[in-house]
Amino acid sequence: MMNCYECQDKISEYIDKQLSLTQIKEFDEHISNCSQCSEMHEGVLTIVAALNKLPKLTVSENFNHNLKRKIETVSSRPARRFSKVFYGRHLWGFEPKYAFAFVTAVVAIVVLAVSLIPEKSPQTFTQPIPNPTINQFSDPVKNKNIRSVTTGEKEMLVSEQEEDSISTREKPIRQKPDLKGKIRLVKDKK
Amino acid sequence: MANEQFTYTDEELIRRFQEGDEQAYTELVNRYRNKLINFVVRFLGDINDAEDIVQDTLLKLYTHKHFYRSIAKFSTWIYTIASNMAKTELRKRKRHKVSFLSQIGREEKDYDIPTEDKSGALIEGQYTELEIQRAIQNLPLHFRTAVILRDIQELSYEEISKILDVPLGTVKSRINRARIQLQQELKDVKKNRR
Repeated sequence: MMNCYECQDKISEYIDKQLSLTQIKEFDEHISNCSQCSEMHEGVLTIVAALNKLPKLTVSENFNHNLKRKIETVSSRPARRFSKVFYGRHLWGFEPKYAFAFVTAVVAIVVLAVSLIPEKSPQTFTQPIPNPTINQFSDPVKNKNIRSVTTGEKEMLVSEQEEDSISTREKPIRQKPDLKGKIRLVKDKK
Repeated sequence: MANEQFTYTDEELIRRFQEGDEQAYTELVNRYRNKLINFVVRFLGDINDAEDIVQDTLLKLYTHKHFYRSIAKFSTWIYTIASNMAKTELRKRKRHKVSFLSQIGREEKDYDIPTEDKSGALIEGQYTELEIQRAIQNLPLHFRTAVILRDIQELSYEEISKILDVPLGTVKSRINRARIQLQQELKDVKKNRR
């Protein structure tokens, strides 16, 4: 048995003969017992009939003439090279005046952003910072005093030098550190 | 010759036009111009803009004839173009902030109201044409398109489904809800008239 919701949902399909025989039977049964659905069915039926009977409109007499003129205009126009971009006198969907305002705004933002970026010191990139620690390790003559100290002091020195070497790694130095001295020092330690 | 041409189906005509037969195009224009004007006028409620839209639709048929593929019915294709153009026109109007009230004003001025309407002639003994047209204008766009295609253009549910590119069930639901909304709105109009 069909309820009111189902019945009202099927009114148009009933009118347009889209229902199966079983559904038609159920629909008929429901509207014969439900005054509200029956009234709605009558109302929709009247609307459909009224829409079908709306006067048929016709185009104006000069319709074909105007269409012909439009076709001639389009045919005589040279093919657009950037048809996708400027289609319908629009630039990517914007009207030209808005497009220019948009482009101006973008240029202004870019210029402002570039002017606000702080300039970095050219020294950082051009001149490598002299590192005495590395030089010390690379020069075996200068390392003499390290060899002469006690074992405990040696360990401290090694750890200090390692720290120094870590800090030098963080600095932007292009010169490759010579680690020959360091390797020798670790051998000594053993 | 004229009789022979009249027997061509829409699909045969568009194929001939694609092959360069301009006469086939003229025949298609003559077949569809009044159907399309009825659809667009009921959709927009404005005959002046409607004629421009129909001309643009038929112009698109001329310039984009090779976009048509024979897998679809010609009527489905041409109604899809017209429907998209009419929707674009409505969007343009919205963008230009044309208020609903001013639209009604234009409707009354431009819309081709028959003389019977002025004398109060009732369609189906119930409503005037203008009352029906106004009720249609109050429908949401997707309901409006569906009900016009079904009850004014008399297209099948399947064709409407293809034109709107929505499932058949959605079409059935939209048509039903549109008709119920129209019925309720016009019932109120009738009450107020009394």
